[in-house]
Amino acid sequence: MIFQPHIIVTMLLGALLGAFVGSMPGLTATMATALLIPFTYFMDPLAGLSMIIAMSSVAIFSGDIPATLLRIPGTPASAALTIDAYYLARRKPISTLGVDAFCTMLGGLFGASILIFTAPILADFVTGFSSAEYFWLTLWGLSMAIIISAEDPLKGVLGVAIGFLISSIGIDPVYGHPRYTLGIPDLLSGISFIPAMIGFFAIPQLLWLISRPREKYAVKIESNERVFGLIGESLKKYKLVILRSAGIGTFIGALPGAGADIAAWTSYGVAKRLSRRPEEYGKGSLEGVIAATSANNAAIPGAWIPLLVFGIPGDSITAIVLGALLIHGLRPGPALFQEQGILVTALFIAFMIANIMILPIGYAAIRLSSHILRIPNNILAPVIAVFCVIGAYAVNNSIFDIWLMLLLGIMGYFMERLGIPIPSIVLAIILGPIVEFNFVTTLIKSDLNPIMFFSRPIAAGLAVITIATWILPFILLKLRLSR
Amino acid sequence: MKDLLAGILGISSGITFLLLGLGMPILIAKGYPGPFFFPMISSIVLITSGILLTLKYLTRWHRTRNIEEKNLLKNRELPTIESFVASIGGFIGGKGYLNITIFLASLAAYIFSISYIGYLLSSFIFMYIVMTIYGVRMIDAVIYSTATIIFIYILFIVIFKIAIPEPILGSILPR
Repeated sequence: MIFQPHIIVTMLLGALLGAFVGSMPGLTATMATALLIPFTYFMDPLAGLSMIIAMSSVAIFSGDIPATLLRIPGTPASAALTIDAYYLARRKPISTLGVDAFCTMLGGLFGASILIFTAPILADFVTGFSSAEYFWLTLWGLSMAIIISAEDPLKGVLGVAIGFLISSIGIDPVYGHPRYTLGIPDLLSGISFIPAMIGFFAIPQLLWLISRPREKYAVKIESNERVFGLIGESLKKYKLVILRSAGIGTFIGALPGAGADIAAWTSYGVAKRLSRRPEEYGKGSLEGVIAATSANNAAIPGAWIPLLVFGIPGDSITAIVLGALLIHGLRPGPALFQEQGILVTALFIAFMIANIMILPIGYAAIRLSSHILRIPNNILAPVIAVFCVIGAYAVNNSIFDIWLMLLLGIMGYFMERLGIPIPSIVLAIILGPIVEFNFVTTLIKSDLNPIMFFSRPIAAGLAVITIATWILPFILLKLRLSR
Repeated sequence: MKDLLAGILGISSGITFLLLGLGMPILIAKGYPGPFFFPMISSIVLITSGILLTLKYLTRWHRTRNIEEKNLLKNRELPTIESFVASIGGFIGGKGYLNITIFLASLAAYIFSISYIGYLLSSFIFMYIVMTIYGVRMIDAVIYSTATIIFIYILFIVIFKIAIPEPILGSILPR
């Protein structure tokens, strides 16, 4: 199924887009995913999802290229390795990037293997979940997103509440009553998902680009190094670091709200603490680069574990993918594994192929990096804007959706400037109706008896975990202050 | 400053959503949660977090105000209108806020024009104008805009068969 020519071609196109997006500082894999969704709407689900998988995996590696050559992370996931990679690149720019590409691939393959082995087992376990378990699980996912992604948890809460209210616009999911439609017929079906994603993720990036219109980067690489010349030596020396970092990356990726950037920082920190030469970190440590890069790409398949099994996105990319799955009529959860087993297996294989693609595409991106980085913002921004407009319009053929995208984009830009995390808002827009539906359904089933939320063992366990997630930061803060 | 603005945003939007939802039932028959129940809880959470953020800013401001006042008295300098405007400009986007405003105005004009002159022509004009405003040479702007339009035409119209907005006088391009 996955080896059909049109799917391999779309994956290749996705990988090329990922190489471009990752290499350009200011463009992120999340933004590219939001822009890709309207395209994938017109493809079959496997082709569309495989394209996103290939794009995001390659973008995570390509983000390391400007980090290494210019000391500017191409995507947030590359920030952890920037200083070390930059110092290493003064001596060996090409082979440093070669090791980086290889370790990114290994991390991704490790994460994909964990996804393949754990997701079906977890899906079997989830089969018996009722609305009470789903309510707590979704609430826990949102709570984790607030705690992990927001610089200030209060702003995370604010973002989630705004997202919930945006998701409540339109016909309500339980009773079919119109809410906040202001007499506008276009709002009866709610805020369209694709314009919202493009607005929140792409427009703020565009405004950032246009605020520095003439910015472009000049890189001249005069080196005859072999791209993959250092791989043998690095593998021999750092095999345990790669394995440990890939494990950390997959685990952190699987936590709702924590993405590739947090995975990379955590792995870098652990590697430094356990290193025999911690003094080299921050001054050009290859071990540090390997630790961060093996973890950041392992987090990508890791984030798909909660997405496919529970329907809870692990990061902002999978939050958008969840919306895309729902648009295609695919509801993540155990039913997806039972009814669409072939599709799920094909997606697992797509992860493997996408990660193997990192080597040839990464090779080309490394060799062509000096040309890619030369494209200035004043050309890039209007071209992307035109794609945003057609993307917002295409799914519903509605000019209203384009205005909606612009409005939400401006809102997103200002909220980002205020430190309100956009991923929290988006996660709440997607999970809001699920939380509400499961909350009301549980109350109706139990005839308004709130004990139902705690009466089943798994629901009670999830409730304890969720409430602990809210209380624990306060206890830790109090303990720290008392010391 | 950011905490205060975020707080005000939370409080004002929470109150707006509460007021807009007043006509909807909170509870329905038998006391089950109605259509306004969930938005009401979300609005209350929004207002509460807004109040807490505002309080957080005000407590911090109260603590630092005395030190600032002392410094001001010491230096005999008072904050000027210019410094206040500069701080707002910094919040919007640093020196680039004018670029952002021009870009947003062009984008709004572009979206408005789509219904009248169609997507392809309006996109070409938008790209050409924005590129030239921001310093791209005219000939380069024509080349990049034309190349993008051809790419979009092939991808969306020829391959995906998407119905893009057409001019009110009708399209002249083959589908």
